Amino acid sequence: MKALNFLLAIGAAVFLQASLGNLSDTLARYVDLTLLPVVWYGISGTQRSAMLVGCTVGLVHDAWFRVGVFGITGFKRTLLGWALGGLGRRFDLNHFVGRFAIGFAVALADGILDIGLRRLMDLTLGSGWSEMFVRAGTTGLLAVVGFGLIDRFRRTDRGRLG
Amino acid sequence: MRSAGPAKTRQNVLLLVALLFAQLLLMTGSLRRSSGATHLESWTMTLTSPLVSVAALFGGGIDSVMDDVAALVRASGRSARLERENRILRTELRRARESMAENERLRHLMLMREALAPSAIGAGVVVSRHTSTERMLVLDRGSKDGVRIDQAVVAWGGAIGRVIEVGTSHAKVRLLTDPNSGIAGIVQRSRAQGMVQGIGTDTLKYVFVSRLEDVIHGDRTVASGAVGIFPRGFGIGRVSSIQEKPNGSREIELVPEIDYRKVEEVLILLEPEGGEWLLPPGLMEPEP
Repeated sequence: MKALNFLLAIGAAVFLQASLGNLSDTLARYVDLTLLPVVWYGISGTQRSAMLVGCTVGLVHDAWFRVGVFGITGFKRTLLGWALGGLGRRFDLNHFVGRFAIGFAVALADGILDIGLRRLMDLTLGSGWSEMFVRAGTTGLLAVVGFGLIDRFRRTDRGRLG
Repeated sequence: MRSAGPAKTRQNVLLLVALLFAQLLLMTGSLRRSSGATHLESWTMTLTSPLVSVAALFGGGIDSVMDDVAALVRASGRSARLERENRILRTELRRARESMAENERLRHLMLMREALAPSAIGAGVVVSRHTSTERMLVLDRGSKDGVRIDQAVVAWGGAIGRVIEVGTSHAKVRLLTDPNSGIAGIVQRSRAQGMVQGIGTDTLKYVFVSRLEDVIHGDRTVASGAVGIFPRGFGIGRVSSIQEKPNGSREIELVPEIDYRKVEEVLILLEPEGGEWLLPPGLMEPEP
């Protein structure tokens, strides 16, 4: 069941990101839905699951949404999953403020790691600072709204079961 | 808060190191274009291809539904009969226009294909991404169709980019606007040579052009064919601004001839031959 949830979370994130790309280029530029499973597993799952989801979703992201270096997003998100899983183990971050703050921080860290890795590999950087901050803000908001919806769904499901 | 014993923490650190090391190898392999990394990427794409293909249709469908909703809101003041009739007519018209535009594009592509045959194949765009760090397309053609790395990708009117990665049934194209893109260009009117670079925006930069060269606003820049990926003569863009710098250099900006965001079908040149034939007749300009 856990493995199925894991695959569902990754599948849903990739599906929505690909749909978004076909719906609006501008939206797809400022919204990175493939970060959300990492945030979710980081604050509510185990450190290991956060790392594995980060690695898997990162590789799928690299395959479909990046060009040039395969593995760069997987590398970043494995590291972020590990850091987030460690934080989630020590602090309770699974609430409104925590979700926004972690969503924002993870997206920002993802952008900074990207710049660092691109520099290491001598790849040209675009002027993406403002884009990075907007993406961080939208990721924070999506974490609040999306995870809130999951909570509501779970409560309804539990209520229906008795 | 969740607690974990020291043994579990150690296991997690080991797993982290293993995963990071594996991905470092992948990155290195990818940069060196080794077969292992390419195969894993191709395998990942093949495995998730149905999901992304359905997502492409889903996204397009929502877009179409949103268009319909907007049209309905605009027409809300009209009578029910007229509205219904109008909607039917507009739907038919939109479909007809879409078919016409598609026919036009395909006709142009077929003409281009005939001119180039058998050295080019048509391809559809599955995913397009336009961020400041990368600008790319994923096409529905791959190695089984004869696509190889470094082949030129064009559309009606000019150059699009080059194939950077190839899977069995998909290929990734780095657009000219990507910050890691560069192509040798030449001003069609004055033959001023330079390098066209992407900067991660919707415009291009024309660099390494001597101050003595004659470049004016509106000049058309085409591929010079110097590097060998793009055949000579493919349209790249038009000069939109020229700024003189205090250090004596010039900053020339180009507006691409093609709106990369609207590209739905492209041609992959399997052999870099016949470029001159692909210029639209209206864009042909006499050489001085």
